[in-house]
Amino acid sequence: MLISNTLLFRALILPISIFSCIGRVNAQQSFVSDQKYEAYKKRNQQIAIEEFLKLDTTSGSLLWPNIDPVLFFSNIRQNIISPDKINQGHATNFCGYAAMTHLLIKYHPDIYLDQIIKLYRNGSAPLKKKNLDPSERVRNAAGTLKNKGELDILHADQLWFLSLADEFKGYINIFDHKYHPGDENKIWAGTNYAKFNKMLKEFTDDYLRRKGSDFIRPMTGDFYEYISKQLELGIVLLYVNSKHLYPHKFSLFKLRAPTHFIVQYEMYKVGDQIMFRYWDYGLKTEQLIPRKRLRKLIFGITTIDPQTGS
Amino acid sequence: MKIICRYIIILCLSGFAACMAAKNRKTASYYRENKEEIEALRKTYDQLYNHQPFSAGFTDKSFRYYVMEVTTDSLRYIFNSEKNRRQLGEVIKRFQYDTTALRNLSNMLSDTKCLWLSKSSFYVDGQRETVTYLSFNSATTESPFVENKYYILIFLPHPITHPDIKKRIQKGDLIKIDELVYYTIGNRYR
Repeated sequence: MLISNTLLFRALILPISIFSCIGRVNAQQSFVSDQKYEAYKKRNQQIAIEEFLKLDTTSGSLLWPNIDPVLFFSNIRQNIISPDKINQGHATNFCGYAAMTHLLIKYHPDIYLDQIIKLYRNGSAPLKKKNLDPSERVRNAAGTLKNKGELDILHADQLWFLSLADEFKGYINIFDHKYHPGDENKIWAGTNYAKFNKMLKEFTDDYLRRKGSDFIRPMTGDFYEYISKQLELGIVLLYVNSKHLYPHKFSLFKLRAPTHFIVQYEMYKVGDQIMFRYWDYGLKTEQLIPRKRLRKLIFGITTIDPQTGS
Repeated sequence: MKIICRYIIILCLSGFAACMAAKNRKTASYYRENKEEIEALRKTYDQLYNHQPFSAGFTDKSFRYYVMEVTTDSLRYIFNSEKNRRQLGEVIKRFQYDTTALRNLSNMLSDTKCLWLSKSSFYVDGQRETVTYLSFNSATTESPFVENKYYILIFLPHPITHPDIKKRIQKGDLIKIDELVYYTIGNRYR
């Protein structure tokens, strides 16, 4: 039975009639990460682009039978130019790898390029303490993922995410170590907080400050104050419960556990709420969240200083 | 003892109600019965979406407060009418949406009890295909003991006969209503 609802109409029209207030939004000091690294990012991006232009971008690799070289190299080029557009794809558990890759390409595109080309040509790439050495199952699966949105045609991202998931294992992956088709949506591809930080350390010498865990929220006092300070010190990655990022009241209870990785870029107070600007799914998102929800949202806070390693 | 018995009876009745509710799921007939309203909703959405892409829906069971996600090339704005009404209005103004059409859309969303309205893309032989989808509660009953499943209507822009799609139909992931309309029952509404 269809039921009309005039409240919705009011809810939509009312904001338009109160536009006169918009100019007076009481935004307080904005804490913006990222801007101080602008020159550093540009320099590294330039190095990576110059290196990319020297590559043979036409020949394929027998080690990766389903990777199309045209899609592979155009994807790498796009990643270096626009690291914000990296997308984990629809219905995958690749959020940890996507966030890590976004950070790696944004601040160290030269390292990313070197590693992915070695992986493509030799089937393995040396990291700080171990080798990125994907199994044959993963090498055969890369390039075949379907119904994942943009990821369907992003062959470099398929190769990269699958290789990371195959190489890095945390306690969360203990019951599903070997890749089987469809595992990109399952626990095989999951990432816990310690595993995420370990991945960051394996690729770069960046200084990391970690607070939080998979079960207990970080003991840092007021989250707004703490994250604001961290945004002044470096790049901030948050391990969050996505049920509080996109809340709804359709389910009876919300599981109190972290499920998603996002990169925090900006936050400031608007009245009694917090304007929250973060990166995930290939875009930056802006939304207002109440302070209480911020508390429920966050399980891990990693601050990264990309310049310390160089 | 009486209290314990009462609790057991209540629990049994709840379980029974839940089982009954799960059986009364929306099927192809739901779309056919409400075709006119759903098609009008979709047309209004397409008109507004072509101006500036967005998704919209509700986050509460009472269908009072709605959420709008406006997407640009690099930014996504998510605001709701419950707690960010002013910011939502600002976004509507900034992107110069047709507010009359938007008002009609919001009325149609609540009339049809549509939870979420959006578009999604996938690739068939390297060609990008974009479909519109509408999510509803999957149960036809209003019982509180309903499992969390969603009835998702998918509208194709043109018939797709690729083997991958046929395989999904055979597996039962997609159920055909007509040449361009399919539905699925999922755990997530957006």
